[in-house]
Amino acid sequence: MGANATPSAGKPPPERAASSSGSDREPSQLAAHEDTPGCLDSQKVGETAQFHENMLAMNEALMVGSVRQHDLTDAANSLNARLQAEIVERTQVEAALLAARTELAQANAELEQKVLDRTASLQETVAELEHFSYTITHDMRAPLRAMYSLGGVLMEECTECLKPSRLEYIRQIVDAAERMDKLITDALQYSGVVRQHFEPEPVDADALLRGMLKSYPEFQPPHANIHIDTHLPVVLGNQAGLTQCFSNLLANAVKFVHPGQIPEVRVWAESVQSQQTEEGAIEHAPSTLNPLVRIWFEDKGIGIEKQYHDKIWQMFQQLNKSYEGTGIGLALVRKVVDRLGGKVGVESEPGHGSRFWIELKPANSQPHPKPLTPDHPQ
Amino acid sequence: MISQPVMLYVEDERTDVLLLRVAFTRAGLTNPVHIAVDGAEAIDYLAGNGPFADRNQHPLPALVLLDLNLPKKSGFEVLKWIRQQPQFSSLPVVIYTSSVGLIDKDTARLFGATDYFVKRSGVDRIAELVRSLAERWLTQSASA
Repeated sequence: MGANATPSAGKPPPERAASSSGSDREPSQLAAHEDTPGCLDSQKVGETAQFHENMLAMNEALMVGSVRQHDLTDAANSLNARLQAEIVERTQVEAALLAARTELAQANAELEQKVLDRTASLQETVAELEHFSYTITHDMRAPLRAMYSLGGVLMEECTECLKPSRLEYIRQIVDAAERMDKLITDALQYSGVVRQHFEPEPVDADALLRGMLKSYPEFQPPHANIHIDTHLPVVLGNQAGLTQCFSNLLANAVKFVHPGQIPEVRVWAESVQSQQTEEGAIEHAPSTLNPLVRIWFEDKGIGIEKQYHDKIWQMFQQLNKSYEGTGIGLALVRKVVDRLGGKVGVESEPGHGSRFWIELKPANSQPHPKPLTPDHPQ
Repeated sequence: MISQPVMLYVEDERTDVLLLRVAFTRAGLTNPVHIAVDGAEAIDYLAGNGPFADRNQHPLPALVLLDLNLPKKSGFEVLKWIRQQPQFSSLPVVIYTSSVGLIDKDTARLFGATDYFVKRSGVDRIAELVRSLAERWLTQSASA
């Protein structure tokens, strides 16, 4: 079977025979080739000529090749040079990058240190301010107490012995001392709100407001008629902060009336979508789904010209000096509502009263929610 | 001779001392009021140090009215010292200060203050306060 079974030479293709029949068979094959008939000599001459020819061709080829190689070397050299240059360049860039990175890290570290230093110095400033506030409370109010109290004694004891005009001087001194004391306490209250961190908590606005109306005679008949139209909801706020807001808004509503007029004030709450409010509210995208609570305080007082609607919220801005005040109340309201993440606003016209509003988040995400259901819907 | 219960007022502000005296008169009170002008003097008075050893001149008080912000030794230091003395463990010490800070109020309670009042403006309001203080601690039966 196979090649070994038929050893006869020539028939299978030589390479196949060679590969399949082992090395011992090659001599016989070569012999068979040499034994082929033909002129040996002439064949050898021809082969030599052919060899020369081949040599020449090879030489030529080599020459061309070497020339080409020479060309090739030049190209390689220039390529090499370019690569070298690129490597140098890249190394430089890398070094520069490393330097930049180190520098950046250093700058970062410096910045962090700076932030730490600044924070420390800010905390120091805050502590100093607190001490300052304390000193104001104590040291500045003491002389005012003396002026106010002793002026009062003088006024009472000298109704007989002093001319009315002199008594009026004393009265002015006493009033001035009282006003300054109010100014100091209001300013301290404002700075307290600025510094205070308000942890939002559910505040029953209704109970808070009704409690306030009960405890202050100036918010009750015959001094004033204040009516709460709707049940105010539970809002996310801060008891102390909202107390300050409500009392300032009510005090303003009661105060800024025409002489002799009995203040008429209405308070109600409505639910508003934050998009509808004003620019800026849209930024709070997640909360746009939750309606906000807007609490209105409407009076029938003297009203405010439109051009001053922004100004009234600023510190120490008093539009009308014929009304007692420090110009801090509304600034305080705005600051508190700001700190609670809410907004404030006013609609007013001279002679047509004012409608102030504050907007707060409802407490419906809190454990004890109360539905926003007005007693008498608007 | 029955002497009236005495009040010791520890106060560095001269006008506050004057106002309290006026208010005392307004309230119709005749109890003697002794003044200590700083914390150290208050302790010396109560301890009977130096000139205060003469109890005829400087009788022990039935009530101490104590300011907090005082020279030399603060009101809190005085209060602490008082409560450390066994003979003064139940002596009424009422804080009378212009500090409205809640921390001060808490500290005062912690140190054993009997009561805490913020200073008032207006002699009538001060008179109202001293009248109620006197009713509690400056009557003969209260100090007995």
